[in-house]
Amino acid sequence: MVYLTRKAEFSASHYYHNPDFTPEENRRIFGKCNNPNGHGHNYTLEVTVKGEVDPRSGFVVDLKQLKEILNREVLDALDHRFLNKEVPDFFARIPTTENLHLAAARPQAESRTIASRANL
Amino acid sequence: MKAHLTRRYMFSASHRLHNDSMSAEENQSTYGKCNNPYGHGHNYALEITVSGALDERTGMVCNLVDLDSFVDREILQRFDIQNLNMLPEFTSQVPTTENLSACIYEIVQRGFDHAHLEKVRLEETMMNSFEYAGSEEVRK
Repeated sequence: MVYLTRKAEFSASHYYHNPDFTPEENRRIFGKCNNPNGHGHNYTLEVTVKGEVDPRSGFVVDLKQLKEILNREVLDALDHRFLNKEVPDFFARIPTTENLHLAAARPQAESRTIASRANL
Repeated sequence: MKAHLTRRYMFSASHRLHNDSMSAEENQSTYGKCNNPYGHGHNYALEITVSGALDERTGMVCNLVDLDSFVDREILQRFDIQNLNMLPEFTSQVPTTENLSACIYEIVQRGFDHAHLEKVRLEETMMNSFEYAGSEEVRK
C-alpha cells in the first residue's frame, strides 16, 4: 500500500463570528479574528490518498486526475475568496481552519471516480 | 522506552516513465510529459524512519553513523546522479516514485539491522510525496 500526498496552495480571507453570541462573546472568544472586515491567509492543503500500485503503470493513482479534481473542486471554490461571503459552506458555519478541512474533504469524497483504486 | 528516528537524505536522478507493453498512445496518455523519450530529473528528498527501544547506555535508537553509512552505501551510491531506467532495479518495472519508494524500503528492510524500519517517505517534488511501509499501514 503506497500513500501519495499532493500539496496545493490557495489564499483566502475570512473572519470568525457566531451570530448566536453577543458582540462581547464574539470578541472574547475569537479575538482579533472577529474583525468584520476579515483577514487573509496563504493556506497549504495536503491531500493524501492510498492504494496498491498498479503493476502496469506503476502508479497508485493518476496524479493528473487528482490535480484536476483539486483544482476544480477545491482551488476554484476557495482561492482568492472571502470565505464567509462567497463560499456556501460558510454562510451558516464559521470558516475556521477546522471547518475548512471538512469542506475540502467533501467534494473529494464525491469524486471517488478518480479513484476507483485509491482511497482518500 | 521506544522512540522513532527520521533521517533525511537528498539525491538526484533522472527517469522516463514508459512501459514497453503499452502502445505509444497509451504511454502518452498514461504518463503525459513524463513519457518524454529523453527523460527528466528530480531532486529527491528521502526520509527514512526507524524505531526501537532506547539503548540505556547511549540514549539512542540507533547510531546515526550506522544509518548514514548504510544509506550512503546502499541507496545514495546506487541512485544518486543516475538514470533510474538504466538500473537493474527497473528493468522490469517502471521507475515511478511509487516503485522507487518500495524499492528503497525493501533494500533498507533487508539490509539494515540496527533498528526496526517503520517507513520510507520520498518527495519527488515540493508538491508530491510518497510513503511506503511494506505490509504495514503508514498511518495507524
